[in-house]
Amino acid sequence: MKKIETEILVLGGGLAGTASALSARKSGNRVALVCKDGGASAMSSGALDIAGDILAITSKPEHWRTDIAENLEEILIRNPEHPYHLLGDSGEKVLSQIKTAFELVFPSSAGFLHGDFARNQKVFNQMGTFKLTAFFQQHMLTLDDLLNAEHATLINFPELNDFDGEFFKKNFEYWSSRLDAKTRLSILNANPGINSSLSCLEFAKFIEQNTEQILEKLDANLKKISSQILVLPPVLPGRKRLQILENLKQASGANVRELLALPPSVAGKRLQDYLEDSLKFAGVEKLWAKAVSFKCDGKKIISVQAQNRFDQLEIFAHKFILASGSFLAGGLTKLGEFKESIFGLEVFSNSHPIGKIFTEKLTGLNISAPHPVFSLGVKTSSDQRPIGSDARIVFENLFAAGSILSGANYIFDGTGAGVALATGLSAEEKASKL
Amino acid sequence: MTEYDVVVVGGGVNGTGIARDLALRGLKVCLIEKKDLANGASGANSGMIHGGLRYLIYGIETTKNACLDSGYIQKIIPHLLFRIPFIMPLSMKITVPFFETYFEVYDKYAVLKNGMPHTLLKGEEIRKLVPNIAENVKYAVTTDEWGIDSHRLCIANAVSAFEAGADIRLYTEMIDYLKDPGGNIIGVKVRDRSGEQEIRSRIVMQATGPWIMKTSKRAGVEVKIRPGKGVHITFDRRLLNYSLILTMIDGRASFIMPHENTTVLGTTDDDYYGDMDDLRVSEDEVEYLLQGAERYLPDIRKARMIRAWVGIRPTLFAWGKNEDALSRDHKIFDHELIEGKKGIVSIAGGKLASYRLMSEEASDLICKKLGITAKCQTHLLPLPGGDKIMNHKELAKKYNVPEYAAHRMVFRHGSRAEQILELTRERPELKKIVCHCEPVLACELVYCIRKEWARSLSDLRNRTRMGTGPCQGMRCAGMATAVLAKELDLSAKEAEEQLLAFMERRFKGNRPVLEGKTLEEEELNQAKYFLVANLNKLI
Repeated sequence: MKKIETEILVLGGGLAGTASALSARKSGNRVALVCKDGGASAMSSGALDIAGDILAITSKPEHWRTDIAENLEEILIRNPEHPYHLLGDSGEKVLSQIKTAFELVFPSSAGFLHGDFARNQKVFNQMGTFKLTAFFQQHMLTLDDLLNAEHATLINFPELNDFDGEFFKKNFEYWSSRLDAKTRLSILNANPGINSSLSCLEFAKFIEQNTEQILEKLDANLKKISSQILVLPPVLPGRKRLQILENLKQASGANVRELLALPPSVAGKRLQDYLEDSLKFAGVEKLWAKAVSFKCDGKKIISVQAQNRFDQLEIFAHKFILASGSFLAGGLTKLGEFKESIFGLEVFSNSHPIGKIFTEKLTGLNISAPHPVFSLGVKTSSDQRPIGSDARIVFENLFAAGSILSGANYIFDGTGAGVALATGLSAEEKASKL
Repeated sequence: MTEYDVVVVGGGVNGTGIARDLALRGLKVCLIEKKDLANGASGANSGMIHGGLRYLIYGIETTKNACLDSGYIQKIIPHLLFRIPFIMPLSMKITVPFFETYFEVYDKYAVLKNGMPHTLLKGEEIRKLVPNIAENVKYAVTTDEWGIDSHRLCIANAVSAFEAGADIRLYTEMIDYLKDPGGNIIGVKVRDRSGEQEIRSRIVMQATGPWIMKTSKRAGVEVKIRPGKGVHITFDRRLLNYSLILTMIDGRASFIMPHENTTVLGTTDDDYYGDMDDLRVSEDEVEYLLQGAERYLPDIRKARMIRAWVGIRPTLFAWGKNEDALSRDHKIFDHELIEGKKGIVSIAGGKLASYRLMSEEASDLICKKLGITAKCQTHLLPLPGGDKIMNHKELAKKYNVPEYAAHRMVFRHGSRAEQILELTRERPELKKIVCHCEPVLACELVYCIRKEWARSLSDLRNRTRMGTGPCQGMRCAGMATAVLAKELDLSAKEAEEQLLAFMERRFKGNRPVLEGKTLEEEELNQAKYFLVANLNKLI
């Protein structure tokens, strides 16, 4: 078994873990990060939510509130168990913490994201509906783009087996007109010369390897286009994305926009790649392995054991930050009973420890309503240390951050990235104060 | 006003079987079904054309009939059947002679359905076949049964009836009977999307399964059944190659079996008093089944459950027996003889395996009443696609589609797979794989919409098993909606409503088994369609 020593060990390489690790580096601490392949960030749409409108009236998008500060206040008032309460006692304080965390992980100078902290924008996805979100990767198609454009052209690749140009057009025209945009969309079928059906992810790989040919084939068609906007399905490979966008812009003279992706997606992969690059750049030691067990001395964790296909690792640290995510990422599991996966911490529904319970008790009959099972997680003291059913801190040197915290349902309240980044940062700050 | 010889009410296996039988005899038939074909028990059974081993102690006739007719079904729709060898574990040596004798009796009937005779297995022989079986299983007896896709069986019967001239009207609810002044039945009043309508017929055949008490009341006749709730669990992939017969905590027999590309564990049998149109599985019932399976397969809880589903058996009524002891025999009610009401016949009870025989008996009675002498042909004429065996490898080559996709398509459609793949000549994009778990190609969805009355994603699921794999529609639902929207020219809103309704229905099946990977998958599913596509808020 390989032994590794560090000051702080972060468990999880998604948004929360990355925020913790970068914060530790910033204050000059030695930090290692262990993560298994592809967590929930990699499985996301690549957009970053801070606060959605939890009171949104179904089917009336024109009335949904987009003001992030307002939405945040509403969440804090209506959900006393929300992990945002760990960040401060007012909406202003919470938002300023979120801003700090965003700037840490996505410095505006990096130019990776687009958006702002003031309002959620309507971003169109590959199905032709839209999502409200604070930040999204640059050059994604938003409602704002449409307001001054009469005509847009969609480049459709018929080979894609998870994108359908006509279906997109139908939904897109319906929803954009509902939002008072009058853009007409025409479809340009591109033939990249492959004879099989590929997913957007597979197609991105194909583009990466055959960029020149594909651009060449598109070139002639693009010259004929008189649209103000050129729309692409989410197929752009991370490393060549900006170059391709620029080439297409020059060939067509239009603004080139990509659609927000439905997970599992290229955009999620790009987000994951971005996080990995940031960690590398900051000098965080990253260990690709799955944390499986731990050693402790009383209430103090000494080490975590992790394994991958080649190695067994034992990582010794003084402080541990648990940012392993919810069910999707594997931070929480239910096999017979609900448990946190690495330390066996108790799982809470609001303030109640649950343990062995039928999942049907935590789900509703109607799929469209929020299900309490997706708000489950570990509960912590105000300094983000997990507590047990006796309300005592379980381990004195263990801190938790991100979607493993109980109280938020990111699917419905749209707080996923805000919680992950801000509690990731604050967990590290609280840990280093100790 | 259209006048038919016979209106068949109910699109289950009996209704479609009778409609086919009568249409092939030259009668003018209309089948009405309030939802989709095989919406009730015919789509939620164990999917076996079994000989009724279990029923041997309760009624030898049931077993014999089932075996005999299972043989016929294999002849008329060979592509849809697959062999399932069964192993019945015996924990005590003392029980061996009893079961040997029992199976010797069963062997006599099993040949009727091309089943192999039983064999006795000991110790290591059993472990060779089922490596994970519990230590205490020392002896076992084998037998042979046949699996079937029961949705497709109903659809094949309906298509055959349609091709023989019958009208098939789905999503058409019978809301009342038309009566003459003497109270005799002269037709039905129906409601569909376009409104209400009267349909006249000389005979109305009630094949409404568990709904029969409700529909009979409207006709002023009585058919008594004892509805029994049966729950099954589907596991991802084939966990074993042989089906095991399990003894449950209450002494009942259940089974776990490889079925198509999944594993099915079932079933419960409890008297049911609730809403027939809103059946739900509780986790309690799931636990009962897992507990039973765990005694034989100690690792079963590590396997991934992907959904649970439920049907109601329309078992014939009896008082004072427990559910398992109820006869699985069927009965045809000639209400002219019973209550003096002309123009109506009912069918109740029975099992999937003997559907054809029951349909024949019911059709014989109807023909007798109408003075028609044409004979039954349903045991001779192949069902659609059953006329010849297709080579899936050749098809895959000819149309340039993946072999494994062609294989499953041939399983479902037999020789008609070729017609489906022909669609890709004009529209090569229909070769796209829509459902990766099963798999299902876009051309099959188009075919089911055009030729098999599919009007919703759930209808497509019933016909192709799209969305029944481990991802439960996460990958396929959106693209399948695109195919449906194009084919039926749905508006954006209608299409999105379809998608949400499909998710709703999938969730009903996932909800009782939300554990492990299935819970992870549900988080991803909701994140995709709700958080990103926003369907829950837009629709």
